[in-house]
Amino acid sequence: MIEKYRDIAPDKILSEINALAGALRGHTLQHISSTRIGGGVAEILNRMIPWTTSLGIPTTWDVIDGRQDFFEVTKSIHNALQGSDVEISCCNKEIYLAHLAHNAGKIEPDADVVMVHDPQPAFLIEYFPHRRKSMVWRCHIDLSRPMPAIWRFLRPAINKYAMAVFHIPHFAQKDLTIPKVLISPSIDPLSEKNRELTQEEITRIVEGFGIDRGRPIIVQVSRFDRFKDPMGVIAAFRQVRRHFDCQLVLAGGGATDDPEGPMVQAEVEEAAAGDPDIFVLFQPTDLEVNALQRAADIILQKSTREGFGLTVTEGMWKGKPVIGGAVGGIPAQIIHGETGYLVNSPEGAAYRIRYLLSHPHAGSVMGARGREHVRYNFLITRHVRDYLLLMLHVMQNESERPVFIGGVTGKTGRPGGGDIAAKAGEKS
Amino acid sequence: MNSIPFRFLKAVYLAEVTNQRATSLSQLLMEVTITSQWSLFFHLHQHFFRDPHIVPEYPNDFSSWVHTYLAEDAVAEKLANLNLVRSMDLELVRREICTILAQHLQEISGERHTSSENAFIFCKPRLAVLDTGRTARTLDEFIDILREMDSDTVAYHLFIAPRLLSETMMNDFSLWFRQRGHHRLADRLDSFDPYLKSLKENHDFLLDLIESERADPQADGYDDRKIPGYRS
Repeated sequence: MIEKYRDIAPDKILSEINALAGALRGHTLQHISSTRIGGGVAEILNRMIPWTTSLGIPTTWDVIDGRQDFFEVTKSIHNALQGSDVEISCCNKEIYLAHLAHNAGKIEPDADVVMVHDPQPAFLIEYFPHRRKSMVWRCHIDLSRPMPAIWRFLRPAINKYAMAVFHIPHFAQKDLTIPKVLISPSIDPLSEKNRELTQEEITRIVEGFGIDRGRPIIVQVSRFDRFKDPMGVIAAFRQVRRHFDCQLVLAGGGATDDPEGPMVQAEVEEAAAGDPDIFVLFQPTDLEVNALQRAADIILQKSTREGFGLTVTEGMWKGKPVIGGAVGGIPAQIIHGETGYLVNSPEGAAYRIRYLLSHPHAGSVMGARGREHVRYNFLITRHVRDYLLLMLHVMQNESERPVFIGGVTGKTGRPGGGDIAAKAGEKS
Repeated sequence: MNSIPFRFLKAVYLAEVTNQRATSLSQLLMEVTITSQWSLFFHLHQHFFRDPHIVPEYPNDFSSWVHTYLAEDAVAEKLANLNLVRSMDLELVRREICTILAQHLQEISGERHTSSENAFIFCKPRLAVLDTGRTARTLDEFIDILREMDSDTVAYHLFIAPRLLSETMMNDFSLWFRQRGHHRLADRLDSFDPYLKSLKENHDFLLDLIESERADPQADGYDDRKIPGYRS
């Protein structure tokens, strides 16, 4: 597997993966989630498991099962944890707990490290008190503003895990008493959405939508959701077009669990109606998204609220300057003025777009820096390394002292044989 | 003494989120006062590990946050100008940050707050130290290996080992150069400010420094063949 990424990912990350895998070889990893198909977690695990397996870490994946009513409850829990005003009745909590009791009889968390993904299977830990030191809760959702009642329900179970993992610091709830570590999500440079394309492929796809490659193209890829501020993007574009002959592409789908999606899309289509330079594209394929991002001169993600914002990562990976709202995980990706710009208003976005259109060289330099930034921080290879690192820390089960790998000891770590480990404990 | 080899190490880490948060300068002052040295280190050096090629506009998390979310640019500038080179001891750095914040708070009547969504959240690194498998016994070997190493190795020996893992408060390179008698080289390295450059630039600077020393026949202690135990 490493060889497939040899000329794409940084050598340093690949050598770190090798070193960490060497220390973990023969140890086992187990994932538990709620579905094998569809959704971000399944997508990540489908890519991650071949990786860890190829590194000599036998990896298994168990999926909880349940009736329709169970998944309706877990969907409500999921939404409430992300801040939606949803109430979970006692009856629904009973449905949830009964299904997990049933699953606890079928799933044995017996690997050296067990990663339980998202809230759906979280309560499984109640049934395995002897395995708690090896179980980690991996949270993939925005937990920054959970509904208090549902968080009070879930929190005692989460606090029984050895560790919890979040995307960004603001998602890590302060009232969790267990160690909370950060692992950013990632993109796979070999996936259909991110693989290299020829200019012919890009032109064919983009011109198929009627977009003119001879004029600047500004692209925002995101579902039609008010928090992605598509109307703000159109407002910014109209300010820019007073000065530049350019085109705007708004491409995305609607989340099935978002009842507002069709309404927002209708508003966007109405606002764009009659303007031949605004293209509203519904549910493009991964390949089409790839081509649109590669054809773009500037990528926008002008969110007013955001989880991590992997479309920012995708845009930067394609070597484009990215203008993003200064919210959620976007500031963790865009280094303002270096790899793109952080903005807080349509006017801010319009100004930065105008600047980049009038300084194309600056945009190219930013894009190149952004691609390097993603190469080091947001490719799947870094994600794999972090999972291996997480395994080591869970197995060491000690928060303050560094893990030493590859024959390093306190006596050999420094010139002169100073004891590095001794100081580590004292200074923490 | 002269035959002590230099073992090239590096570190990788996961960031651990603490429960310390600040939404104003007074809260930042309170939390900096009590936070661990590991957390201080993390917020002063994080950018080196995020991207080896970039020197951000504000070179540490404290100054960047004060600029971005509190718009207290005079304070942000003072925090950007921390004397990290002279103050290898993180306790001195902590004192310097606290003095900057306390002085500013004394001079103003009301302070700015940001929302909890934009709070400064203190983190600390959970380290794993890796052996690169490479060891140098001579300066020639040292520079050959250093050229092949990635810049994280430089970060480990320049920042992590002296600040977090040892009592000597001297970077590993200078320590080894002095052990081998390369005092002028060590002096030149110690007088250099690595906080003004990206990690990659620091890596390149170190290579250039050793090359220039190696090219100078007057340099002390260079000729490794005079050292007992030298093997060609």
